[in-house]
Amino acid sequence: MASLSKAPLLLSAITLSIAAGLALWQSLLAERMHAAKDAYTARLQAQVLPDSGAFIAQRPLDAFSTARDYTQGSVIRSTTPRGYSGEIVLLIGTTPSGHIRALRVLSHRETPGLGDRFARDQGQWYAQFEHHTTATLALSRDGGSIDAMSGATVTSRAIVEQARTALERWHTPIDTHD
Amino acid sequence: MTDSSPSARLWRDNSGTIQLLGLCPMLAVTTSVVDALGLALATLLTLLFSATAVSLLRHALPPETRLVATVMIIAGGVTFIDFALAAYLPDLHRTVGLFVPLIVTNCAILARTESFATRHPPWPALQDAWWTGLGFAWVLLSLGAIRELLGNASLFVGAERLLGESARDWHWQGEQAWVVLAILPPGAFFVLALLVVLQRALSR
Repeated sequence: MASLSKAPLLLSAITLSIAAGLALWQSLLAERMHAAKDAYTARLQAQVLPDSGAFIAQRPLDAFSTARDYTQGSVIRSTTPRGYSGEIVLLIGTTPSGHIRALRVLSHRETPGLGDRFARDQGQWYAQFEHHTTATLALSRDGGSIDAMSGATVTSRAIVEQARTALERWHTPIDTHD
Repeated sequence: MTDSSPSARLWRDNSGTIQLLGLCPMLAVTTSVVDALGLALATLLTLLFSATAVSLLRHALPPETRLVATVMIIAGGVTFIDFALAAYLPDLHRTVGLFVPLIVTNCAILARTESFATRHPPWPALQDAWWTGLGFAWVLLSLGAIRELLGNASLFVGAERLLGESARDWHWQGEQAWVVLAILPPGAFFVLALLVVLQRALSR
């Protein structure tokens, strides 16, 4: 019985010390974790539109940023809930005329090895999006010219359709680039 | 189960191919060699950490609560590693991050800490953890290599996520994947079965 009465105390002590250790560890690393996340966003942003500034929240669901001199285009950040397993956040760089310069996935929870091949094929899948406008953005099986990642049609369609929606919303006449 | 010799941990009682423990992370992340290596290292670190901690506490822990305490220590160790990955290897964390918390449920770790570390001093427990981790690692790496090769016709794609920018060109990329099934979830089971058969045949 002695050991039984001791057990709760011991377990509490172990739990508390682990929790304290983790809290300390997290606070030590918090800055690095944030920096890593920001660096990743910045890296992708530079890939879709070089020299774009910080994001400005402008419309519900979308945030965007523009190149410094406003003549090169914009970066749209757009989120779709229609991924195979949750949200997919896109970064889309556009030209002033409304064409896609480049597209990247910022975050996702798609099936590893299958639905995330856009991030593993050295940019081949992403390259299909370049120069498209809303009129031509669709999967080839939906009558467009973008090939779906094989075995990951849901993911591919979610990305393509969100890209089209984002472009449509961004390039409607109420735009003011200022 | 109490044999801690390297030959038992690496081959005869291998936690992956013989005991078939830790299937969830083993099958889920082995879509590429790099991801497999990342998870193998994280699992090895967790094993070393929890074996040492549990072994040090073995006299203080009454049998009734030993399991709870063991799971808690493993969960703590895994969270430490998860944070460290997110901070120092963010690119790797983006791909294997989903499975790092699942290391807690890896029965290979629980089985070894529970059956060995709770009954032995830290040094033997640490050695046992080391060989168990390496035994698990070679299975993960073989699975990752076979699946990536067959299903994606490549090897070491994304090495820069684990080893830094200088490793970006280390990968090999072929023309056409031979068996796409290998990289899909069911393929994981087929390839593992192949490995098991192969190991049995070699052990004859």
